[in-house]
Parts: sequence; C-alpha cells; structure tokens
Amino acid sequence: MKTTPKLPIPPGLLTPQGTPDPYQAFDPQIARGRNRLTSLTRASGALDPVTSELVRLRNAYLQGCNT
Amino acid sequence: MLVPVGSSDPGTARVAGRRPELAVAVSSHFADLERIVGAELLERCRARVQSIVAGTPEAPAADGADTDVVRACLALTEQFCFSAQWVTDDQIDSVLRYLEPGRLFALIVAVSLAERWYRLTAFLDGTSVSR
Repeated sequence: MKTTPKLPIPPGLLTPQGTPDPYQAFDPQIARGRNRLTSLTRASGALDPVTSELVRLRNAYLQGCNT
Repeated sequence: MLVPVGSSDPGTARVAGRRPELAVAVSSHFADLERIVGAELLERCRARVQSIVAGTPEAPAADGADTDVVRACLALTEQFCFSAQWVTDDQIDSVLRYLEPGRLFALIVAVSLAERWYRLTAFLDGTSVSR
C-alpha cells in the first residue's frame, strides 16, 4: 500500500530499511533523543520476549500498521 | 516541563525511582523538542495532553484568548490524543500556515512523547505493583 505523508519529509535520508527517516531528516537532535529512549525501553529486559511481541503487535494493529 | 524534578505525582515518582535514567532521557528529549517548537506553544499543548489523559480540567491560558496558531496546534493535539490515525490533512495544513514543517514535526513528536509519558505514569499511579 502506498501512502503519502501528510508532512513532506526532506529527501535524501533513509533508514537502514530504506524508508524515509523523518527523525534524521528534520533534525538529528530529535533522532538522537528518540534513539536514546528506544534503547532504554526496548533493551531493558523488564519484559519477556513473548509479552514484548504481543504488545508490539497490538500497538501496530491499533496504529493501522500492517508491516 | 514534562518531568518535574521531585514531583509528588506517584506515577512519576515510581518511574524516577525505578528507572531514573529513563525519566532523565524523557525530560531531556522533551526539552530538546521544546527548544525547536517554542516553550510557550509546547507548554499549552503539553497541558492539553495532560488534561485529556488525566480527565481533569485544564487551567485557562494565562494571557487570555488563544491566538490562531495556538488554537490550530491544540486542535491537532486533541485529535492526535483521541486518534492519531484520524488526524486530517486540514488539521496539518492549519498548523503549517504558522509553523514550518520542522517545527510541526517536533510538535508532533513532543505531543506523542507527552501522551505516552502521562499514560505510563497514570497507569503506574493506579497500580500497586512495586517490584
């Protein structure tokens, strides 16, 4: 499914997966803050892998993310 | 400020006590976004998010009537909190009349961060889980 972002993302910067990276594109400072939070929450080990995946899948469903 | 130092809020105190590095990272990230968006404007949006998540009335604006840019940003903030999927092009365009895309992007990231923080602390406030 092809979607058009509501906010035009500055060109040229891609994620490792090859998709546009708005965090880096708009302001690397935003990307750094977000990456720091992601690393602190995702890798905390506070949740077991199965529960983590269930939460991730439910979150993706609620946000309409089909990937 | 998203994470007040020494807050008496039980949920905030729980996060700060158990994961101080997370509270610091959230606070620092929000402060960065505040510098990009503008402190006064983001404070109004933060207060709106807190009001929606907590279900409590919001303090009226200190300086009287809201400007058009504040109204546009608050409308976007409300829509984002109630259903981010259903933010409309019109709501985005309304804000883009006043903010350049980089500031709008930072505003959306900040609103999302505030929503997640208040939901987390509200959840922890309502639980008796201490471990």
